[in-house]
Amino acid sequence: MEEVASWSVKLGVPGGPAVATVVAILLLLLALMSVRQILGVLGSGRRAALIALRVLTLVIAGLLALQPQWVTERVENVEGRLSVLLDVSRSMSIRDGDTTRAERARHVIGRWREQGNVPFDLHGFGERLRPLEWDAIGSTGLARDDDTRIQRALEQVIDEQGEELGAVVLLSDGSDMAHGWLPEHAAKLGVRTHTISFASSRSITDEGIVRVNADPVAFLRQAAEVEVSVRSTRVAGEPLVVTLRHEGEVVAEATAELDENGEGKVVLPFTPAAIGRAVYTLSIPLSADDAVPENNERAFLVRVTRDKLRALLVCGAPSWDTRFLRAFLKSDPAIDLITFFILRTESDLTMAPAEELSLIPFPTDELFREHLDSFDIVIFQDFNYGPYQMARYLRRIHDYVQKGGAFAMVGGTKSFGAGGYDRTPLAQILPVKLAPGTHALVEGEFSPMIGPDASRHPLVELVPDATRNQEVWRDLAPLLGANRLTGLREDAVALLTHPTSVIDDGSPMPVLAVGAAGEGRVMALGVDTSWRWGITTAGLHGDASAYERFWDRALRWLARDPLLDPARIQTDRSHYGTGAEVRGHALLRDAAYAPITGAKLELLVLDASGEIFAQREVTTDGEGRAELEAQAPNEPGGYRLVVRDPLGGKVLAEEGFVVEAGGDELADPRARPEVLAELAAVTAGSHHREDAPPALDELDRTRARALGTALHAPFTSPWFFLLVTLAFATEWALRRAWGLR
Amino acid sequence: MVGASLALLWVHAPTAVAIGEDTLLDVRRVVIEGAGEAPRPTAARRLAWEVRQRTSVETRLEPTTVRLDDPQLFASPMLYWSGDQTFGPLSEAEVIGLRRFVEFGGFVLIDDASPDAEGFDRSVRNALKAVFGEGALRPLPETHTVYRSFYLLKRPYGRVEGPAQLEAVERGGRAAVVYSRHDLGGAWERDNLGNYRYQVQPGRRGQREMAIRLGVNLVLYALCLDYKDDQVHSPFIMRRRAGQK
Repeated sequence: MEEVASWSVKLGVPGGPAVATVVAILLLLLALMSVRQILGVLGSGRRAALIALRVLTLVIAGLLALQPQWVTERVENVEGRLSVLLDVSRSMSIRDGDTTRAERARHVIGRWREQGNVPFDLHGFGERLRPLEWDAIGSTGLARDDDTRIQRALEQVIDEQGEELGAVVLLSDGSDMAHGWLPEHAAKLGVRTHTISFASSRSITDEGIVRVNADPVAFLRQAAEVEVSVRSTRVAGEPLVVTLRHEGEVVAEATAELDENGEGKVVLPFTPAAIGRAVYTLSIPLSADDAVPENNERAFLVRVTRDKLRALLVCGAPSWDTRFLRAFLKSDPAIDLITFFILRTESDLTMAPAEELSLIPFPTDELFREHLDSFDIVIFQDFNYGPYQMARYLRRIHDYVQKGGAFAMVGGTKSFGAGGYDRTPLAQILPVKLAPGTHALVEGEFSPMIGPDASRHPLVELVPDATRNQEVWRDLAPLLGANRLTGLREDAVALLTHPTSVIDDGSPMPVLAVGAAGEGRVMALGVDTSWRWGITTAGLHGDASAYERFWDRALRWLARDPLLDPARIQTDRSHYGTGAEVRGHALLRDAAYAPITGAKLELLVLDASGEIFAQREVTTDGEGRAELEAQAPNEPGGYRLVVRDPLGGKVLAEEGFVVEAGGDELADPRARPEVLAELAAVTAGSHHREDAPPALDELDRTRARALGTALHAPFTSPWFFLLVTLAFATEWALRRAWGLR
Repeated sequence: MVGASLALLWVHAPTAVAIGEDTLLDVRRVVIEGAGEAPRPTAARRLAWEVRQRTSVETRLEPTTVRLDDPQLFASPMLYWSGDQTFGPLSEAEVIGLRRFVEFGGFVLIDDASPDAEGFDRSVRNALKAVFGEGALRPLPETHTVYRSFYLLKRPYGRVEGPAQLEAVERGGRAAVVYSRHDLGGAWERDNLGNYRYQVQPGRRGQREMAIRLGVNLVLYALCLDYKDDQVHSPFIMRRRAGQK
């Protein structure tokens, strides 16, 4: 049936309302001027006739000038397809009647199928929409989604069905998880939505943890806290005791007093004791009649880091290189720096007794035996270990790096081979091979080259644009001399090379190299004039920032800043329900930050002990990206999603996630039929309760199809022109007849 | 006797090890147009020698010279600026050069070689005012790290006793320009035979040695900044200060 959906008025005169206003004022002035003349006519009947004719003339003239038009939009209501959307989120698994909400909804759909009078498409929706095969869905395990997004489901079904869609029938408990979503948001989608709410009138007893608020990052040995919101359906609810546990041990307990709505809140303190990922669990007591025991326990994941990067800088002698590096490190409030300078050697003659000097002993034992593990990074800058009886500590530094520490050696006459480090444990972890001898040095000014395939490494990618980055490096002040390095260790990457010096195989001599040693990271910078990238470059080009950018990235890379990891995984959420679909994507690059393309890799789901719960193959694309999908384990707890190389088993990237029995979906089990009623109202649909479901042929499944717009411009007719001429001529004739000009 | 042993040590200066001469610390002498001949031509070399002999710092024994408007100013971050007479206002290029040198991390030691006259002092103050603004030059307290960066000192020293405090322009929490009115270079200067060129006044015992120690401290401060303020050093220094009282 065809009908007018809307109409509007517009003016045909160019210039729109502004011109119309001017024309109206002019006509009004004209009318007022003529009134004075007409008032001189004797006899009220004659005056009225002349005024009426003048007004008629001016009104018609005005309409002819302004050309008002009527625009109508016409639509046709046609019958379209019917899509049935079944809520398959986990809140539908709540048994608030004889059966679960999902089973009751399935029963309604089953009856529609039996009736068979109206065909329909069947979709399930939770966090997203997907087609459902009736024969494939059983009465159990149907409601597994960890999220409910009604708006997203409606948008997706409109996208899929297009103009074929007549109406949607939505079966749900109305418990939508999207923050800030209101049913009125669906009105603009323009699809008629009939809703059937599954909310048993029978009251349920439930005590649950509704919300958990904790920062995803906490600092080692520093107090943190988690805010926990609880709720009880009992009218006269007892206070709820909330218990926080870590690895099974009770960390804290607090009692939540409940208000008249049965809601309460507590804050629990905790202090992480180890770096890494930590899973904490929260629980409240479980009563025998609790309808949703799953929401009595929640979990949260915390990444534990140090609040500050702890760096140890040991300098063999004060120099400009040590001065600028220390000044940079000290200026960063995120770095807790311990520095030791060797201010005098045994051969120096201070000309003063010890008490007149500010020198202190070099506390080697304290630093390298007692406190070594407390540092995130150790830097040796132009430092030779020999004079300080440090040989016995080099093995400790080697082991510290192997266990996950970071070590950097910066060049000078006391570094690398010139510092006697060849054949020491440090030579085994450094990314470069050392030339023996105290004169293992290369003199002369040079500008280093970016190593082959190293341009994407964050230490040398000082700006994102590759061409601009080359220019930045070209503009840096040349370096003065280098330590002779004879090659690269296996798996190390040469980031900067010497333009003229070569190693035995003829390839350029590395100047800056990075690599891994066990669990740790290592860096070798074979120069002692990187400070020239600051002040000297600033003198040439006015910009000293390259020096700070380089060292900032070097420190962050050594300390494993996640933002600088060559490979990383991002999951769509940090929490999943048992058996839920875990989705994510991985960006996989090698040690030189070149994308790992077209590689077949293993995707694993592991628990804290390393036990494998799921395993499948993934393939990277041309950018080193891979889409990840896995099923969450059925046992609540902390897990890792890991991508590893099947050849050698090297872990390329990993990310943690938590599996909960309840999660947000079951945090509040109450149905929201009022949400569905409003949704139906704003979309011109109808709302029904589960105990009185409609037959499908009772539901309006028509939709409005636009037939286009129609323009009506009545004042373009020549009859109006004739009318205005006639009115004016009549007035003129009467005026002449009655003695007026 | 002390002088003789110092002369002997001077002859046997330790050999510096470096990746080329250019990587050694260069106590660069500033050359100002129209400021006359350098009043203490060997002072920078003497300071470099003393620093190399007494500390682990590797210095260049033949310091270079540089103008404040020379692009090469930024090739080495330390300047030694000594004078004994009035000089005219710095050129625009010199003002900009000195300002940028300090802003980017450079260190300047200014040494008044004629502290009894006003000429050089007035010119220096005008120059620093032009570069860093009014009031930038302030007295350096006796608790400053300069007095304990290597030797423990109680006050500034030089050829003359001079004021009780050094003055400095601070930038970024560091004393970037240090100004001495004690003729440090006059206390360090020697002739070709190794004899000290100028008598110290009033000639207190150890005055010259203290002036050398202050020079060493200033170089160590330029290289280590507030290193001696690090918490790990405090107990040691406090203990020794207590012992000196």
